[in-house]
Amino acid sequence: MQLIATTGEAQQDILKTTCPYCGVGCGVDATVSATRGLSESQFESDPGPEQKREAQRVGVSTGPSSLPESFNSASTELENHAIAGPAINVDAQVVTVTGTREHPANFGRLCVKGASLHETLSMHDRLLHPMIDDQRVSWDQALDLVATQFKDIAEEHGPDSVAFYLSGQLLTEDYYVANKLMKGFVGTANVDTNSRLCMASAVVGYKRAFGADAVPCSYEDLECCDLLVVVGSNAAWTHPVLYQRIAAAKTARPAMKVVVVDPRRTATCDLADLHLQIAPGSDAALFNGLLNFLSQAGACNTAYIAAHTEHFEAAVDAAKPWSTQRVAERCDVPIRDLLTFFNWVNATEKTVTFYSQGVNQSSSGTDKCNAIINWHLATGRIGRAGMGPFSITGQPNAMGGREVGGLANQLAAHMGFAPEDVDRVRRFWDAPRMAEKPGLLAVDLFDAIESGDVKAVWIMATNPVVSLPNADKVKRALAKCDFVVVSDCIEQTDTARLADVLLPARGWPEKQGTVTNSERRISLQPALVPPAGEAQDDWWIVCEVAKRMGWESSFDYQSAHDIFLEHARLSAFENEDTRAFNIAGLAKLTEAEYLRLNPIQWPVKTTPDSGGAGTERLFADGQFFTPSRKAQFLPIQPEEPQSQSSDPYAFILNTGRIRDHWHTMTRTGKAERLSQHIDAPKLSLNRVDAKILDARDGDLLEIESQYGAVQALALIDDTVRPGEVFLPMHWTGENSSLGRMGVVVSPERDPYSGQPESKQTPVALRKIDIAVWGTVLCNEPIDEFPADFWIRNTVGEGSQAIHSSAPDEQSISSAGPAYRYEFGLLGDLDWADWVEARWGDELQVGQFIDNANKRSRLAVVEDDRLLALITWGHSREHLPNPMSFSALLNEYPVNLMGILAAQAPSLEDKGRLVCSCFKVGEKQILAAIGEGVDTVEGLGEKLRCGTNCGSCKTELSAMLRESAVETA
Amino acid sequence: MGKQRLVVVGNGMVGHRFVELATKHQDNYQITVIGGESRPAYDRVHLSEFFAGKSADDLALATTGAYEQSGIKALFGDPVKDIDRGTRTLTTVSGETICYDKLVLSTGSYPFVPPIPGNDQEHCLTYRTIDDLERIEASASASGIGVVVGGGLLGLECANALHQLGLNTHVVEFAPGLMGVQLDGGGSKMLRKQIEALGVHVHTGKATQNIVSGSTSRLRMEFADGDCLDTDMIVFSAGIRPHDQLARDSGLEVGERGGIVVDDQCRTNDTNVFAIGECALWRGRILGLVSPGYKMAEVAMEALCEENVSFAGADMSTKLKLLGVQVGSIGDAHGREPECMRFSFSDPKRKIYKSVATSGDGTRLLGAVLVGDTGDYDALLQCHLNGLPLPAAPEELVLPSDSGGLSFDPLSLPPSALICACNSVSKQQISDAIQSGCAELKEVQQSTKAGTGCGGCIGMLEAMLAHSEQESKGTANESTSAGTASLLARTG
Repeated sequence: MQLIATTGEAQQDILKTTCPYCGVGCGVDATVSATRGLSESQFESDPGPEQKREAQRVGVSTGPSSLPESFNSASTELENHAIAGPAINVDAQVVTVTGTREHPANFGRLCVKGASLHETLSMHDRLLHPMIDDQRVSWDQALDLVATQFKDIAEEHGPDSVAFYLSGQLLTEDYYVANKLMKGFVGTANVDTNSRLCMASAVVGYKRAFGADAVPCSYEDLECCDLLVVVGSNAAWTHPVLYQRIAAAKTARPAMKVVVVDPRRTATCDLADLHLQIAPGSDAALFNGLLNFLSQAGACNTAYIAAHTEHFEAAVDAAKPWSTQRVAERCDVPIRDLLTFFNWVNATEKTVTFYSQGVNQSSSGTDKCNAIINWHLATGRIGRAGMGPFSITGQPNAMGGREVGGLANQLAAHMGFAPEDVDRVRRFWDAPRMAEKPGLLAVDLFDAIESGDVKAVWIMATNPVVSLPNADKVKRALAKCDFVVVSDCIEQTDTARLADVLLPARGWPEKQGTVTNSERRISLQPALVPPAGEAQDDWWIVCEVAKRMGWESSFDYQSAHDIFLEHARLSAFENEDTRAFNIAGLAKLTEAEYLRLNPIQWPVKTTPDSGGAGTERLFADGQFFTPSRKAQFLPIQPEEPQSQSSDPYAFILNTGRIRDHWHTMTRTGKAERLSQHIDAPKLSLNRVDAKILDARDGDLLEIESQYGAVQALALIDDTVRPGEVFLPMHWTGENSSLGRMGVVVSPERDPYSGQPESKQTPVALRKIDIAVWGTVLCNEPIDEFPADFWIRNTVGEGSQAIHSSAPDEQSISSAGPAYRYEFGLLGDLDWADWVEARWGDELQVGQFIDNANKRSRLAVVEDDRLLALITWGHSREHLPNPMSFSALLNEYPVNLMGILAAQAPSLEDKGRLVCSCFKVGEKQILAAIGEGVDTVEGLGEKLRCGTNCGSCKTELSAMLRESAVETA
Repeated sequence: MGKQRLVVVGNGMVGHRFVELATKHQDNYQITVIGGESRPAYDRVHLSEFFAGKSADDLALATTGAYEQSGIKALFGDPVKDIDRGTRTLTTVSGETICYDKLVLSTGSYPFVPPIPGNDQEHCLTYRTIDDLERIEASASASGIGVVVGGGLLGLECANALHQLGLNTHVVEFAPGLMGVQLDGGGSKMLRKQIEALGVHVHTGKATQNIVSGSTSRLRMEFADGDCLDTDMIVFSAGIRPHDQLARDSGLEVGERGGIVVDDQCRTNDTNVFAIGECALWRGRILGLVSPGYKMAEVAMEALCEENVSFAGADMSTKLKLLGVQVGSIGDAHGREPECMRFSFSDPKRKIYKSVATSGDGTRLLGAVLVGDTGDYDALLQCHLNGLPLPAAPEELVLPSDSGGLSFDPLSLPPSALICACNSVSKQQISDAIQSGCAELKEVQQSTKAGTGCGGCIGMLEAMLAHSEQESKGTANESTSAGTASLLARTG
């Protein structure tokens, strides 16, 4: 087989899509370069019947796409030629991405993660083919096995013995068919999702108050409010584009006030006029106190309360014990600050509460949400511009999942398990076996897998072995589960390793369908490039299994568009304004209209043509979706977190995201620059605690809870309060030794939402004495890395993946990246022996040992190329910056003189990367400050830092502040 | 004052060397040499060449006739049995008594045979003397498989012998690597690889626990780890032990683990008795190479002449060919110096391993290991011995280069530079010999002894001879005064 011989010219198109990261849902303009070429394909000489069939299916099943016309026509040719002889290949790659100027979520902005998307598309780690027990199989074999197993197990042990665990990364159409299959045909509601971990409490909060899981606000409210209360959100890092919009609004209107409520002094506090650094988990007390204060101050909107709400008195009664004094004690904040906050709220009509995981991820998260909603209702600050309780989701399509009802405690399309709802959906789906009661919520689901009650599970697009609390238990559960199916883009994840069947899914930007962002805005994510290998859309995979289980006609969709229309029809089906989610206006979109869909906020009751422009704000009319049409107050009794710190678990562990990474790093981990801001799992701990532990910056710490232990490097950081520590959630068993945060997190959960308390786990800390520190730069990933502690990062500019329509070309046409391992050893290791054991004794090995400084360097060379470079020593200070060697990985023939030199090759040491967009390092910035630059803007002018996505501006201003203090 | 009676006990290479030195002092001394073996001194360093066809005569360093011609009384095959230091009298096995005024013990060493049950069976042999070689040859002729116990320098020489005798040869070593004294880990590995490629089987980290009868072969060796190995013969070459029984019996001070204790003048605790070579324990060490033995011989002779010269140890550098593999070891081969830096490069395709140890500032060479290619040996040894400055990037010394091996011009060395480490011959001495008419290598060797030990410096001797010849023809170039900075260079 040969590489593609290009015959055509590359054609570049700018195509519109949305970002696959957080819940902001930014519009992305992707520049796609497509080339058509003739190649001698794998089918050139008399293909076997199996190959022909596969080629046909892969080609035909793609369905209509929005690819550039050249791509589509070539695609058709591929289908014809694949069987006949020489094939036309289409190679396409996403060359660059920029923010879509007219997309209402971002108006042209992108954060650094979004701006690096094109650097994360390499093929080297993709799952390209279906696998059974680690052996490549055909789609037929894999689908037959999944269908048979699910059918047989459900028949033998009842429908509740099988389950799906879905993801906010799925598109709405994928979610819809998975939900339909389980709840209408298999007959179980065991369909839960990783969204359980991020916004389940917000869902229940909204439903209890409004009778519907409906976010009242729009992003514009964040800009036009006069007081923004940010609770439990480090938006500057987790939702950077919204943060930038807020920052811009505040700059334009300096009178606008921002209050941040967070136990950590996060980057978001940079914008805060007031930071309430409350004790962990004390949010409900704070908002009960606020309601009590407003009620005492006579600041409640009695007319609104009377006209549109119920149970106000009960809520006020419950809040009454929460005097300002008591709140100050419970929240551990100064009364003065509390009063400032309460008075600002009292005085500011246009107030938005922006809340996220800090509120939701709690054993009383639902109550916290309602405590927030309560005082918005009490002041009538909802449904109007610049007002409302605004829950922000973490995932690109958590909202889409909520809309289709892809959660175990919902049925479908904002319907629950009331008999009339079940009946309605049964009729709509013509379903043979409806689930009639809620299924198992995420944590319970995996408990049931461990106990053997659930015997088959299909996990799509998520990595629960990393992300669920008590993650080792999840791992044990999957290891003993009879049948585990995993659909994913990535071949090796902690979860995929436990799968019996692996199904290759298409990822961004190969898959096509819709997503909904945090302001209810539905946008299309079109397929821009050919899929990786034999990867398929998740909806296609689910439908193929459903057909093989005997429900051919109910799952005979030809495209995501088909599914979307059915989803839209169901939203409108016998709705009669009883359900907030209604997109009747989109139920008749033609395929072309669907592919050109302008981002639109639901509900959309009439077609866009006839004026259906979507709905900016809900509840403007004071009408809710409860039986009485009135909003409900809830009496809130603030609860302590379930687990309190006590000896030996004396610290409270908080968890969350960092600026440049996303979830379990399967995507962001591939772009070098995204790993340069924070390149290791680092535990933030207060200076006072560091002293007690005798820990210095960079020391290795063990973090142990009653559920398990993980390791991280100490980051002495007064952003956390004494007794509290913070650990990022992103590291996994694939990229670190013991960085899998979920292992320690408590599985305690909210009784209503089932959302785990991921923010408050009592832990013990211990310093681990490392004898040898070092780094390995290597051109290939290293399984079973031999050190006691290690972290893996990707090296090399993000690879520009070429997606080829000839699946087997892909592994050839995209070279894999290199890797950098940082490691620590408790004792010595003979690296020369290790090299020999790994690569054999036929490679050149050069070694440098510096006895005086107790450091060594070892280079492994194969055919004049550097295969690996290992540096180690007893003290990290004497080790060269490993990145000063990284260029050598691409050098041919490699010059070993530099590598073995006592003096490492010089590299401008920029320090830790602060601005990932323009790769500006800490040392450069400090130098500029030293030269007299004294504003963030000045730094931007000089170094460009902070002038693209702006995510690092908070850090720039912190550096300016610190240096001002030092020089004062 | 009449001549003193100087008696030398032992006629190995070192004893012979001493006698040679003493010959010049016959005005003062009447010399007697007593050799335990039936034949006078022979070249033990090149012992394995016996199997390559060299005869005992080819290896001989001395003959009884030559000794007697020089006026030296020589007795062979009648070992000394007893020393009476009170009467200063020796008694031989045959009962002859010999009186001495000064006694030099050069009794050498014997092969160490590990105390393994069954080690005294037939076809369990040692490798030390020409008599041993004859026994090995006889055993080998009736064997198919042979094992050498000991992977050190001598053990590998012996393995070479068995291999050349056509046996399926195995080397069994207790330590984790071959030639652990001379080579670092990387060098040892490379040597093993190449020896194995020749068909010699190497077993390291093996402790032999028993030698019993074999099933498929004559003998079976049982190892501590449960493995076993069938063989027809076993040769022990697992290190040496000093021959110190005579001294011990006569009440001379000996070390805890053997060896006749000597001071820096090689004198024992009896001022009339000296010990040199492998029987001597100097500062707690037995120096098992010929070069320090020669040095001791010189020191002892100087002491007898009442010159105040001290033995300060000797360079243990060595270059040799083991089973066809070139091996060189210079100075601190393992880089044990606490502040040193080490650079190594292993190139399996070219079958070369090189490592160097330098001072912490990278300016001086402390040691080196060369396996597979000892072309740089002379140059590196000179750097080491003479403290010559190294290239600015010392890794150059080990990394492969398109421009050939290291080269240096021996003519640019200072006159005091040590050219022959085995015999401590300086450049000045060689120049003088050439000036005084030595025109052939052999003449220089005879005159100065340079190049008669390991032979590592012969290339330099030849270069000096060639230069002298050119000079006499007026064609010598002017590079001779080049500074030491350019001493090391890659040749084109």
